This record gives sequence, structure tokens and C-alpha cells, in this order.
Amino acid sequence: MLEARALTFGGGPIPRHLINFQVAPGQIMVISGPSGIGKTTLLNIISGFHAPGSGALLWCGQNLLALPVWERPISFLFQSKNLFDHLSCRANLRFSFSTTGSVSTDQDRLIEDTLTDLGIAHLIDRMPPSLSGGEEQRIALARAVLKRDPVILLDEPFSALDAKNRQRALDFIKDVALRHSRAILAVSHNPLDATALAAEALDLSKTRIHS
Amino acid sequence: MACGLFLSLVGLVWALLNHNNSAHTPGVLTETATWTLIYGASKQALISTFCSLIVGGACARAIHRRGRVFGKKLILATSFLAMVLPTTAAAVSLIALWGRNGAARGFVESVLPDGILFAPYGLGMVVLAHVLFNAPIALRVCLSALQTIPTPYMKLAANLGFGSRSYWQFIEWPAIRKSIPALFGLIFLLCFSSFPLVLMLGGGPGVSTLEVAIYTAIRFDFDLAKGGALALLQLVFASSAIILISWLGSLNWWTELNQADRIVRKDVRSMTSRIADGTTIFIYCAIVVLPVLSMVVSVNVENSARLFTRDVFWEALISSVTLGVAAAFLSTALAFLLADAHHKASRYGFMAPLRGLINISISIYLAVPSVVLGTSMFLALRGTADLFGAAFFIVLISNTLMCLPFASRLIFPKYSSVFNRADKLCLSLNIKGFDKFRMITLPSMRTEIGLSLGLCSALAMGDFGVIALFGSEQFRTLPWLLYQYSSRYGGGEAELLGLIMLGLALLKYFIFYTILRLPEIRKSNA
Repeated sequence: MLEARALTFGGGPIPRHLINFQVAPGQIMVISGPSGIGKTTLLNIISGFHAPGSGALLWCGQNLLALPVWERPISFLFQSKNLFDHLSCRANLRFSFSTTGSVSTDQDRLIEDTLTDLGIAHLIDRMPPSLSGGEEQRIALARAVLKRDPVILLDEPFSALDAKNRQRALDFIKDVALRHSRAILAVSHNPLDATALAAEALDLSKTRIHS
Repeated sequence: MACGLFLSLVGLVWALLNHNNSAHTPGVLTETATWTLIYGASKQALISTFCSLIVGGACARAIHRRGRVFGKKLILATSFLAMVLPTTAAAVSLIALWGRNGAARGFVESVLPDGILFAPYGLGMVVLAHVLFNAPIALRVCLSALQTIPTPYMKLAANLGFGSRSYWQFIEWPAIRKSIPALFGLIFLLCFSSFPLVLMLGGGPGVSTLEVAIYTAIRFDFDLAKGGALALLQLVFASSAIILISWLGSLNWWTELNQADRIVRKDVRSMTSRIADGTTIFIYCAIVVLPVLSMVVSVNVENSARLFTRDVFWEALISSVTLGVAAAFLSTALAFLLADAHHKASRYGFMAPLRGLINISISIYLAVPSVVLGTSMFLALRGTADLFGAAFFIVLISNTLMCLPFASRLIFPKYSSVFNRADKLCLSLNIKGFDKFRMITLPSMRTEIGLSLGLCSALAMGDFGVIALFGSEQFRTLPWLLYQYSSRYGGGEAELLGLIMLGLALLKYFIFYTILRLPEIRKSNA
């Protein structure tokens, strides 16, 4: 279980917050709030790109704040550019197993099987610039699934999608959380997304503190 | 105007061809000495290019990887400084450091076994000088390219746990590889057509370029036919290289280099990477920053102060400053006129050939080395004008034309972007002519105009190309005087003169850049 205990952050242009939450594997939490309130900053703190003011961030009892970005059991999906444009989807997915991009035949087969399982096997040899926003997001999610990181962070996953693709993305994320038992934290402007994902909601406009 | 520029070049080529109608060109082409010279110049240029790319590129990677490095501002400043540093001044500084009695040579020879260090004059010195001037260009181009890497790529790589090799293979190399062919071509051309550095540091005919051969043929052998034929040959080489470079891609070396924030990376933590980056930055500084610093440190003011009592110094100073300022204003004004024509032509598809003509008429002067330009003018005007009497205007025209590609690169993009937005507004409010310049162009382009004037005045003041042919007792410039001093007296005065030239180049750049941006600076301070 991912747990934030009295996690404080903010200052400067971002309001200060005191955060407490728990997200179990298979569970989704939607972080919402108006622009500039610190939603992406919170994801950056959880993933290790920024440091919090104080508090603890625990995974299975271990404080993640002591670990660098690459040692945290977390996959981070940004608003865009989640795949290297000059590499095929297959090459991008190989980074789940090796940072040098070289994998065994078995691992290559696992990539194909996972994509088939997720219903996106037809995208495997495409180049990222030829994908739609929704397709790129699904490939990036597949990489997170293959990487076996138990926590997935999604920054505005629905912002660039039309209504049809939005529904597909919602279903896809629910599927990944439940079938692959991942704890997912998604940032969204739309408060209805929490309902659509049957998720917990963390409204940052209610976690502000005055220092 | 574009036609005028183009035709003036055609006229100069015609002068070269016309002069060689005695079938001298084929004779020069079949001489073994010519091809030995071209082979030697190519070898030198190839070594210089590889060294410049490695030193500049590796330093760019180290700075980008570290984010914040001690002395980063200084390193980025020197990457620009090398562009305005007068070549003759740099040569004198290198001799003071690495010459027979050089301070750095003395230290290195006391540490290393005998015979390992390069000779005080020759290929090693020429390559070192070319790296001093071209590694900063490589640094600027590579760092600009690395700065275009999207932040999510860097964060994704950190999230995936990339090591140094993966960063290079999947992120950094793909970002810079597009620039490498054109960068390689540009540096090769600059080294292949190098003149003052090879003349002063080459140490004899063993290390030479076509420019030096042209200069020797005209100035010492008085063989105008040979000089003209070699100039024509050089023009063919340089033009082909420019066409090839344009085809290989465009280079981004004018963008402002940011003080980028530190990006979380796994590979910066290891001791190996720290040692590698530290060594890379140290080598860059030793090659590029040390000569500039040594110019300041090595001057013995007591011994060399008699320079200020010489009339020739003051004459040369006035000539150089006047030349630099006049050429800067002329080239910037020309760039504006051409930018306006280019912008207007870009509105209509059928005017594409005019745009092409404007681009070629500007870029072509990048391909014409100053010695070739001087030779062409020498041959074209010989017999019709008092060449040495009109030397000031000949040097002014050639320096203006040589600065034009640099001024245009600074002015064109901003001019287009400003008037893409303001054109219709100006038309509807009937703002035109000088009012348009005063109210729209100047306030929007202060930085570009300041940069163009500063850079061109420094370049024009420090050029030792055309003046090498036209310099005489009646007309001298500081680079010409420095060359005379370095070869005749070989000492204190040359070093002081080099320092003065560097100071003047920086002062001009600072004055133009700051004065034009004063209103902006006042606004930001308010």
C-alpha cells in the first residue's frame, strides 16, 4: 500500500498543503483541484523529482523519500512525450526490462503477449509520432505494466482526448488497476473522472494549510 | 540589392577568370605543389575539425549533464568570446603560452619526457589555435541541440533508471546528430581556409593553406596570375563546401544558452562520471580560456608601454575603430533592407526565386574567404584606381560583405516574426518609413540590433584578410600592426596590442549591446 503521512509541500506560487492518503494495489485515486494548486508538484514529489517539506511516503513500510527516482517502485506517465519519438513502440517497451534496450527472446515475447492482452498488439511496430494521444498513452501504460512497478502516476491522462477516446482510456486504466493489481494516482481537472473510475478522490483545494 | 550583391561577386569572379585567360589556371592545377598544398590543408583541417568537435561536444555534454557547474557562466561567455577574439591576437597569445619560451610549454616539458609535446611552430600549434576558435562553436551548437531535448524525455529516462551509455545512445546523440554533418562541414571549411593563424603559427610551407599561398604569391612573389588562379580554386572549394553544408542542414548557434536547472539523473552520481566531466571541462578551459587569461597576465606593461608613444599605433587604432563601427552599421543596415525584401517576398509563392537569390547572395560571402575577396578586388581595380590610396574603402566594403551573413542570421528571423504580427496593423494605421523603424522595429529588435552591431564591429575590426594585401605605410589597422610586431619585434608590444584588441572588441560589443538595450534594462529595473 502507498501511504502519505503528514506530507507537506508548496510555497512560492504554489499554496502549502498537508497531505494524508492511502492507495492499495488495485485501487485508483484521482487528485483534483484548480490550475496551479500543486497537483503535478505532488506527483513530482511522489516520484522523486521534487522533495517535500516534511512527512513520510511509505510503500510496504519503507520510506520512499530516502530513495532516488530510479529506485522507487513507481512508473510516471507525463502529459505528453512518454515515448521516445525516434524509437518504435517495441523499442520503447524494451526499456521495461533493460535500460540498454537489449532484451531476451522470452522478454520480447512477453511484450507481445502483454500488448495482445491489453488489446493493442497492432501498435507494436509503429513509431510514436504516428500514434494518437490515446494510443501513445496505452503503450506507455503497457510499459508500466511490463516494468512491474506497483505504483503508476498519471499526469492529466485525459486532457488531450476526445469523448470516445476518453471513455476508452478510463476503461483501460481501470483494467490495468484491477487485473494487474496496480495502485494508480491520476491527476485530473474533471471531478467526474473520480466517479467514472470508481476511484478515491483527493481534492487539493481542501488540503491547504496556512504556515 | 540582392542582385547587386550577387553581381558584385560575379564581377569579382570575372576579374579572377579574366586575369587568368593566359591559361595560368590549368598550369596551377597541374602543379604537384598545389595538390600537395591542398592535401596538407585538408589533413590539417580534418585533424582540427575532429579535435574541435570532440573538445566542444564533450564539454557541452558535461555542462548539460551537470546542469550547474562552477564557472559555467564563464565557459558560456568564452564560447561567444572566441567568435569576437581577433585571430592575430589569439596567435600572439598562443605563442606566449606554447611558443619556444612559452609558460605552458615550460611547465609541460618539465613534467613530460622530451619529444612528446608538439613543436613550437607547425601542425600542432595550428590545430591548437583552430580548436581554440572552433571548439566554442561546437560547444554552442551541441549545447543548443541538447537544450531542445524535451523535459519529459529526461524525466522518463530518470524514471527508467538510464545509465550514462543509455542517455548518450537514446537521448543525447539523437538530439545532436542532426547538427553534426553541417557542423563538421562548417568547421572543416573554416580550418581549410584559415589564414592568419596558419601564417603566424604554421612555421613555414610545410603547414599551409590556399589563403597563405595566395598571400605569398601576391605579396612576396608578385605573381598575380598564380594568386588569381589559386583564389579561383579556393572559391570553387569554398562554394562547394557552403552548398554542401546548406544541404546537410542548418545550424543553430545563435540561441541564448540557458542556465538550465539541474535535472535528476542517475549517471551524475558516480565518481567515474564526475572525473570524466571534470576532465572534459578542464581540457576545454585549458585550450579556450587559458590563452584569453594569459593575454591579460602575460603583458609586461613597463616594457611594452612605449607602444603608446608610437604614432603608428594611434593611426592604426583610429583606422580599426572607424572600420569596425562603419562596417557594423553598413552590414546591419544592409541586413535590414534584405530582411524586408525577404519578408515581403515570402508573402507570395511566385516570389520564391527572389527569396532564393537573397539567401544565396548573403551566404555566398560566407564562402568567400577574405583573402580571395581581397585578391579579386585587387585584380578588378588594378589599373583603374589608386589601390593603396583607396585601401580604407576597399577594406570597408569587403569587411561589410563578410559581416553580412552574420548580421543577416541575427536580423532575419526576428524581423520576420515581428512583421508577421505587425504588418497588417502598420498598414491599417499607415505607419511606414522611418516611423515604422522608430516605433515598431527598434523597440522589438533592440537585442538583435545590439548583437549585430557589437559582433560585426568586433569581427570587422579584428579581420586580417584583405588588410594583409592592402596594408601599407599609408594605411594600417591593428591586426596588420600586430602581425608586423609579432614577426619583427616578437615581444611585449605585440602582446599588449593583442590585449588592447581583445579589450576593444569586448568594449564595442558591450557598448552596442548595452546602449541599445538600455530602455529594456531600465524597464526591468523599475
